Amino acid sequence: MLFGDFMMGARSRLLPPSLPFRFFGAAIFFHIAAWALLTVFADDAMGFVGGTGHVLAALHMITLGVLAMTAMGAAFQLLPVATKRPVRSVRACKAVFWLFMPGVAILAHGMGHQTPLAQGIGGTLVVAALALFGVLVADNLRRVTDMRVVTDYAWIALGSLALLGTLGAVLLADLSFGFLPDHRAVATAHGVIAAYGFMGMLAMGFSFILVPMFALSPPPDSTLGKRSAWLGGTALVLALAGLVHGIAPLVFVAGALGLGSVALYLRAMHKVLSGRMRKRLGDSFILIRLAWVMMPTSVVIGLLAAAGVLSDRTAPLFGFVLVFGWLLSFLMGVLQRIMPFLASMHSVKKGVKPVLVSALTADRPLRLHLICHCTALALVTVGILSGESLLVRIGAAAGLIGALSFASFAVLLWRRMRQHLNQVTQTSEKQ
Amino acid sequence: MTDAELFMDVRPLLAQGSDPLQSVVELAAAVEPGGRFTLAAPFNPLPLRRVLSQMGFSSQAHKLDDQHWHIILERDGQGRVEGEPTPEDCSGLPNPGAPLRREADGLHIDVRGMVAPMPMLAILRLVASVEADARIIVHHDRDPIYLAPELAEIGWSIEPLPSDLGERCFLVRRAA
Repeated sequence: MLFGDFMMGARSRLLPPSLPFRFFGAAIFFHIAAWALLTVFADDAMGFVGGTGHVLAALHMITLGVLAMTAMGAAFQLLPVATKRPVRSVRACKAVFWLFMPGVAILAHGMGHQTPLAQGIGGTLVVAALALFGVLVADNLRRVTDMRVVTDYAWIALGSLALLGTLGAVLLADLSFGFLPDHRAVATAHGVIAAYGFMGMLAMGFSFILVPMFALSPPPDSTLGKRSAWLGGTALVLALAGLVHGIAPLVFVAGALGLGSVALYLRAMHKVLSGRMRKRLGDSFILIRLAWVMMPTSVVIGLLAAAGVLSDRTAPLFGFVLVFGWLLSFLMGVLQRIMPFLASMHSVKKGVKPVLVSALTADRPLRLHLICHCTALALVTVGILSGESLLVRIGAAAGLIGALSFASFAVLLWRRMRQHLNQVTQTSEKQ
Repeated sequence: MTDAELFMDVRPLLAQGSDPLQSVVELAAAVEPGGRFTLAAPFNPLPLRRVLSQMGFSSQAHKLDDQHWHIILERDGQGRVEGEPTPEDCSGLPNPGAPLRREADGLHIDVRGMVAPMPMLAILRLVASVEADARIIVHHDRDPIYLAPELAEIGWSIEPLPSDLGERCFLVRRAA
């Protein structure tokens, strides 16, 4: 009895490969589309502080199309394995994708072309998908008693998901009916809850599973994790209240608590990496470490923006460092590790060895993506600070090249996996 | 706490696929110094006994039949784990971080009850320290899904073995 039989016992918790990979494929598509939009509409990015248009569309392609899309694919695959409880319904997971993928596309189209109908339809599909995702994850989490740190982060992320969906729907309705006294304040709260609350908490929670697994380290300090999660949760509540009601001191307290939460999380991650067994972590951890630098940087820039230190022209730096610097860097670092890993796990057939992770990983496209991503972050940041839209455009173009390079990594991975499976089929037919 | 509460049967929890660690630790935390309690389990839960030894419990394991063990735990502050294989059983090997013993069919490593990814680390540490023709029998409480690609990467394979209820056994050896 060989590897294939071994995997049979885990099938209930290991979903069909097409499920996570459809999410990852869509994320790679939106990654390209977002950088392409920013390249074309770089002028609009200067001084962007909200309002519909192609920059808002690009921002949502990253937050929803890349970050949330990847988080969904990873959560559906990783949570059942980590919690030892199978996902309730594979069909429901597929439904999430078929609501979310077109929803994001229609919403981004509506935002870019300022079409309320498309925004309404796209927004409805996105909210429905997020709600179904929330129900499925909550169903899995409520059956877990032994993973307190991850589940604490995940519950806060789910609470944030409910809030951000509600705020998003209110903002879309306000575009048509204009009932909010301060649309920009609610939009900022929506962005903060989405980035730090939903995406941020998921990223931090999954770090407690993924980083030790990638680095081959002992599990992180759970006390640090729990304190970080609840400090972060408190910061989110205060930030929401402060932003919506215009109470600046609350926002500053929230920022300080947020920095405390980040410090505890980073301390836990530092301890994990200090005790690691795998010495060479590769390019993916350059991105992950870059993200860990950008994480507190975004909070500091946010506080500077709240204090009025940043002008309207430089204010977009907050959103850029937060979304592209922290979350996108982290997600792309994680994605390039879990895609070959999952493909390897799924490449087995009865009595046959799996294809090696190293054989599935095309290093050159990943190296090019890393260089382009870092170049994009640097150039767009300098462009925003100096007011030079040409720098933003060149930076976004670098990001686009990096996104295309990442896509070629994914295509090569898929082709190599197919080749392996074809060879396995031919071998078994000969036998 | 009454005497009737000083007994816990974790077999139904394990049969449902639930990890009883949290429940057992909560029960243990309520036991006064000098107090005792008994666990019923389908196997000898050495990792759990080691966790409880850190709380000051000495323990003895009694096999009643193939899938029924009674573990007697006493909070005497000494934390002795009677019957635990000694390092001398596997002299010459570095400590992988999990109980290890040598038997006729190979090296047995017991990673049950360990928090992920400690089982994977213990197995990979052991693999790195043994001869190429070694046979390692892993006693696990789940299918180690993430371990297989790591082993394949260094030229080792993993195969399931017949297992008792509440336990998953695997043979790890150099891939053919």
